[in-house]
Amino acid sequence: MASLQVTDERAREDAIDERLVASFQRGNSHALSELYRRHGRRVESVARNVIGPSDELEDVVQEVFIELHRSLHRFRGDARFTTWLHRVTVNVALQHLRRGKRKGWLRWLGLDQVGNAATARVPAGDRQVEARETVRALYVALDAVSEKKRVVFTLYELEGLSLEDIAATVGTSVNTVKSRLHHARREIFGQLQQDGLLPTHTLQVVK
Amino acid sequence: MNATHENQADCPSEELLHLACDERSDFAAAERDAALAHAERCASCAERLQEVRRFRTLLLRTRVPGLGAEQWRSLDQRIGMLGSEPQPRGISAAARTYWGLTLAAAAVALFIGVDRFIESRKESLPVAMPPVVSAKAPTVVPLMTAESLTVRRVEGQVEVVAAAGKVVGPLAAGASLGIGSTLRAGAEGARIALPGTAELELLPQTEVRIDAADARDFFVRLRRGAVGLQVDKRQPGQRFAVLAGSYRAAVVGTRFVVRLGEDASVAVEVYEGAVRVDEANAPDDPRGETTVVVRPGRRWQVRGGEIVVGPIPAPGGSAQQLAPPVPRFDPEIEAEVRRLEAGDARPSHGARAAAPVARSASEPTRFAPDGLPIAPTPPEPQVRRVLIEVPPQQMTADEIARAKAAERARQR
Repeated sequence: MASLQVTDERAREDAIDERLVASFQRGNSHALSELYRRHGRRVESVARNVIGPSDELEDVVQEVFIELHRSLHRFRGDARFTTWLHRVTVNVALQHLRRGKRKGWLRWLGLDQVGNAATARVPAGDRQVEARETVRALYVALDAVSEKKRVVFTLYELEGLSLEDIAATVGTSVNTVKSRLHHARREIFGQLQQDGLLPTHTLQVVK
Repeated sequence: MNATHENQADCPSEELLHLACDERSDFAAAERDAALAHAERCASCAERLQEVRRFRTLLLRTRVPGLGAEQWRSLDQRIGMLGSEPQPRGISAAARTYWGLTLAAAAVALFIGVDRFIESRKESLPVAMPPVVSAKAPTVVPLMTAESLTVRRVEGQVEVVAAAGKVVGPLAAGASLGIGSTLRAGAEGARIALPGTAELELLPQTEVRIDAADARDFFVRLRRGAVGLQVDKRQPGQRFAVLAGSYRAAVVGTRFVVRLGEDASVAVEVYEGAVRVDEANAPDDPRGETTVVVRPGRRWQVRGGEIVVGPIPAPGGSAQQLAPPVPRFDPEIEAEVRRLEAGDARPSHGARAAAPVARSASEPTRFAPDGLPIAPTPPEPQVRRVLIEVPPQQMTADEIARAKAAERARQR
């Protein structure tokens, strides 16, 4: 029963998105503002989880909607709008990462600083600092894996998307997603273990 | 918990441990329970499971900082503006068809044109083609640009260094002067005949870089030593130039020498016609404030920030290092140089020469620190001009430092 309600809610949201997209394609540019109001937070969340801590997150989100404005007239409704939006967001985020890599020495400087911070001793009890260092440690490890694995890992582990949604977003099969996820986990887990950056305690997940 | 280690073949893989700890995985409940039960009996697996749980804890605690309220407000505004902009329109099917056909027609026309061109080239080629390169062929140095100037004749040894710094080989007749390449004269100096009547003379150990070498402009940058340039005739719009330090001299249809001293001093000696010297940052700069016209038999020199114009010193003494070049092609010019060296500043080429200098050739003309002459300068003669200039972006760090020091000294 609950599952049916969720499905109904999802179908209703999809229908609203479709109407907004159709309105935009008929020439109503203001429909884009409504799509932003509905999905801006989702785009921001996906982008920040893929690229990690960055001062340019705001620009990346804006770039996603600029890309939307540019290419929404080509959206044919073959997939759900949110899946298409995730795909655009991931592509823009990856472009952002590639631009960062092309910066060469700037990138190296940035990584060096993050790496030093991640391996530094964190004063016990300072939860804010500890949380920040946790994020940095994870993204230092993420920088070492391939883009495909990084996307699957961040969308599943941090963004909480399902394997099916991720498969639709990156345009591959669920089994391929599982494989990439497994390899990403192994590499990142190994890196954090090797650097001694795993927390000393575990959290109990309450169902 | 039983701490004894079971058979390692029964131990779950790391992947299984991750799946067992992942609440969202589609791992079967029975398999999950089996893996966890195994870990309770196996000390090694219990340790591994604990590590995986720590990893999952790190993921659960990971919160990447998002946008702040201020950033969201800014973003709302920016996206709102985007929403009010007109949409980019896609290409309609009719337009796609039209442009597709147009491009196809253009491609076919291009193919036919290229094919005919190749056929016409084939017809014009001689039946028996001599080998393009042979082991015993004289060294002809192909340089960088298609639009480069070809050398008519070379006397003396000149080494060519490509723009990338690689020594290409000796310069020979027929070679092209590529932009950015450097010419280094040997111990005997060299003389290079360019197309037309232009000749470039490099004194011993002189080094110049080719900054422009095409049908319109010929600019060389003097890096060391002294260079002479003789241009008897030029086509309308042609410019010949030698760049030295941060100064520009302009001469066309004359013969002159530019020297760059070890102390960054620059000297321009004029043997025929007249030369305009000024400071400039680019070839097409308007005339600089310190414009000076140097007449035949006179030398313009800047040293330590002071500009002095006087007669060309005779060879020997302190001016030995600035001895004028000895022309090797034109006996008439050689005779004139000898006469000028003897102190006679009158030009022998009456038709090409500028008006005589108003002051005595032996009396140096001094200039104020702002570059303007202290004594009145004679009216500007009707002379043809050549530009000599140095774009600052092409100066080395050392040259920039020396130029700045000279500028400071001049301001003082």
